[in-house]
Amino acid sequence: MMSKIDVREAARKIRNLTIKIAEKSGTGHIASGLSMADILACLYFSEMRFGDGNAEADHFVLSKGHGAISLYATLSLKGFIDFDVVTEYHRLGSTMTSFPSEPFYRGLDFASGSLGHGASVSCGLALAAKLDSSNKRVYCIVSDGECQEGAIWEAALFAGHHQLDNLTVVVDYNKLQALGKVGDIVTLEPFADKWRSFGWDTIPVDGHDVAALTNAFEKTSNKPKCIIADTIKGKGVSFMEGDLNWHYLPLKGEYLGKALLETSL
Amino acid sequence: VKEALVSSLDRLLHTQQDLVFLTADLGYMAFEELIAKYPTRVINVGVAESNMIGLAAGLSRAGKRVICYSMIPFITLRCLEQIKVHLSIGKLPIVLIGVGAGYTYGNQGSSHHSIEDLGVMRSMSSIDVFHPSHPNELIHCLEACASSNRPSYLRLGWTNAPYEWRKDSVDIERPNLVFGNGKRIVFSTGSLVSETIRACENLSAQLTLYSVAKITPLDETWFVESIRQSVSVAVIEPNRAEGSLGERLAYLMICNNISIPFWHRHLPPDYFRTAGSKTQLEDYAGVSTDQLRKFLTAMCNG
Repeated sequence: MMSKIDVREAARKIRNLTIKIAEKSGTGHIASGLSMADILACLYFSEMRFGDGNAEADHFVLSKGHGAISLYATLSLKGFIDFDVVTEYHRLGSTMTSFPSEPFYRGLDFASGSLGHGASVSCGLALAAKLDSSNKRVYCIVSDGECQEGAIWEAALFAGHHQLDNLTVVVDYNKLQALGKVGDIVTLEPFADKWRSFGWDTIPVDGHDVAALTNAFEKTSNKPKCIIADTIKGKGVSFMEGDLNWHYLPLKGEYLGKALLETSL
Repeated sequence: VKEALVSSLDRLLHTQQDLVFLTADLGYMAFEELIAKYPTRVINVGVAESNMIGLAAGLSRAGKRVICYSMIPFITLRCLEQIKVHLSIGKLPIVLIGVGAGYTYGNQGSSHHSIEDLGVMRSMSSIDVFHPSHPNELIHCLEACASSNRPSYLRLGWTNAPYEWRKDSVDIERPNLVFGNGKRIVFSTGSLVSETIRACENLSAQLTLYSVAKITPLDETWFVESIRQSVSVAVIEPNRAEGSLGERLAYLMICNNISIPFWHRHLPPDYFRTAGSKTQLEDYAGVSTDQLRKFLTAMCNG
């Protein structure tokens, strides 16, 4: 297991690789990945087990498929996908699509991109582990805007009722969705209370504080867990932070150089 | 049909220890014993069909065989995107069982009528579509679905008076010969096979009737050869024409330069908005026994 400092370094590398992938592809959806880089680093470099030795492999489901660029960066850093493959992102014939479309690689089990699906899938994985008396754990990252989908709450009801304590959903709560601020469009608040009322152990944390995230992951109870990660869209690249436009824009020119520099420090 | 479904599920749950059966809170007076007998593997997921398909995907990816059950409108149209992502794209071998084909739930109102699901599900990639006409055919279809590595949709409609079953085994990949060796060939599906049999009285010498249980994918070579050897062909089915078996067979005939008369009876494209039993609505729709008899008589005289 990496130390917490190593996890921070992993998060920095994930951000830097994210920018490099974006550089080669000339595409957007960058900021949505950057906001969850610390969460991915905690999961892949501290919390999750990958079936090495006698341990059973945990499952990860990226429900917010629009952040896939940083998942690809993470899988590359982890050594599950060659960096040469990852940098084919968006190229003709590449399996590295903007939203994962096939479970081609280790650590990438489901197609996503259609929001609201991942929580239900994760419930199914967690239920299967229970049926098998397995100690596998299931982790799922959803976006905040995604929690406007009814299917999220169907899954929340099911997991609460069945006490799927092997399931952790992390909400990447960066407070920006496709057309503006979540709070202006359809507010989720009181967000933590909603999850708690559905029977979840709910832990709001600073989503960029690796120590706080790790503590939240390590906390156990007999309920499914929801970590509401307070994040900043575009975190780690100063001009992207909190700017909706970087949900869409590709990186070019001086912006690209600045992003590479800031994420390499 | 209900008894055949429950007994077949019981058999499968008994023999396949990795099988999980999910129902979206439907199956009154049907699944109670299964829930008691297999409490961890027969699960009522609540009124949440979208979640049910996602659960099935997770269970399936974890190595379970999964069968999902609900009424047709809810297990097809309501959760169609989940079906696309997990069955069509993901190709997970999940079995969807929908009940209420056509006007099975006639008096319940148009929200419960299922006229377009067959076309919709036939258009979905990678999904095998079955529509059995007899309880025994249902058992063969369900067993085929449950052992398949492909996703499948099993469309069911209740039949009050199923026809007499004369076979020990069925090749579910091809149409099931019901009777006849006439040169006029009739393909029917689901509950309308029973109606067609009754409509064929006094015409059976001229007709050959098949029940087509597997509607997607079709053994197209078999169909083309069979139709080539006939003088006319009719298709009778309890669903809209769009995306139907008849539409597909007409397309095959055109592509294969087969120029013989083609007759098609199907449900109308719009919904009935007034109450009526299955039989009464089928009468409105032009597929009652008497109307089918006139239709087939005209075909024989044509």
